[in-house]
Amino acid sequence: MVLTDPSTNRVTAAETAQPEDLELVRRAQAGDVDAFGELVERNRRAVFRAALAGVGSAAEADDITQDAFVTAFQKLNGFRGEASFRTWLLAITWRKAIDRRKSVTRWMQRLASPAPGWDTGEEQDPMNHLASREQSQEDELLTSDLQRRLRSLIASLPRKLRDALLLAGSGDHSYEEIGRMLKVPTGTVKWRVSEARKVLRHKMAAMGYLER
Amino acid sequence: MKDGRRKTEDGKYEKDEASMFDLAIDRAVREMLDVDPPAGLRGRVIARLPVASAFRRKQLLRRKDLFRRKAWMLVPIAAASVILIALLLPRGAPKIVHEAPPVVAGTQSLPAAGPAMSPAVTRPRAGIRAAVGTGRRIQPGQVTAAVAEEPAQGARVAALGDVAPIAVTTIETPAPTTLAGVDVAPIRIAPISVNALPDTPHERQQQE
Repeated sequence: MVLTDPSTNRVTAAETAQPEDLELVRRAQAGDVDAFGELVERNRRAVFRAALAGVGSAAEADDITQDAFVTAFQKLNGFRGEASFRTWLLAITWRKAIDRRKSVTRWMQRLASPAPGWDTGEEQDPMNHLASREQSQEDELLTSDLQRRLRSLIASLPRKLRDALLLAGSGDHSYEEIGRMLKVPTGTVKWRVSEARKVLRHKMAAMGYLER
Repeated sequence: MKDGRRKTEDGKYEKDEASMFDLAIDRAVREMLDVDPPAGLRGRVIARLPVASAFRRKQLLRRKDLFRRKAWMLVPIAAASVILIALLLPRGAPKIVHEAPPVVAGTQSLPAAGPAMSPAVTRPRAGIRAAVGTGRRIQPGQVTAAVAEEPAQGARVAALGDVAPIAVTTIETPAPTTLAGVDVAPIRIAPISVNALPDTPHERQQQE
């Protein structure tokens, strides 16, 4: 069955893949590791990007992705199928990402060895690392000044706005999925995304990029 | 609006800076998250699953069990085919009618000494003759001892020569051995003289 998102009129991948996912989940619940492996293969990209949006570091996102899948397998019998498996999995992933973000150890590590390109002039947020990844010389030439500044500004957004904007902008998650991950209504997610854009526009205008 | 243009009052499209800016935000977000998960994630996740090894062991056992069950199914089939072959093979084989070899009865006891023995050549019994070539089983005891002989030319077995009687003499018991008094003499060792060897193996070889 193909469902469309009424707000965006978009077919969500999670909903189309759900029946097969459920079959795999049932097999995995019976202890079939290969079936769970297939679920990992199908969802690894979405899970990884959600984790990356949460922590801003590919290495940490990889750890979180692994943890999320292992936790999902351990709690598989608790999956009742109220939401799609993917949504349930993404909610686990996001919790892991938030836990990692809040962990004291992580902050200590960051303070001890700041990531390359850390902008001390801005809010000390690990997301800045994501915004200022090392780029090749060629990329530097191709990337406009606007893009660089935008990434930096996105990284400095308030977390609630930034999370919503990154998750929505990744193209991997529907608003409903993001709402379940963040445990807020879908309308709130949409508002946050819109607000994030508004804030960015204001900041860019203040920097002289856009006429108000 | 998505393509960065907006419709003006006169119906023409013009670039909308705000929409262009939205596109730029979307692009920036995509670039920030444009990182693929490292390869081998599936394997690493499965390796961390606590039941992975147990499940694999279970699967292996299940396969073995299935094989065992199949093997049991094969046993009656194999038995049936053996019986079938046993029944069909003799009937299917061409009938070879031939004279059964004469049987020499060897159960008679030989005299200890005396005249030459004349062998008693007898024809095989009717029951045995009937069994040969038909595949019927010959009952044990039907043949006591048999020596095959070619009967075609009516050759006869030559009589055995005289057998000398075997005489066994009485075995004498050996006289018991007695040990006389044993004297122990001191061992004398001659002094050993060792000549010094040459320095090198080469010199030693030359000397030899």
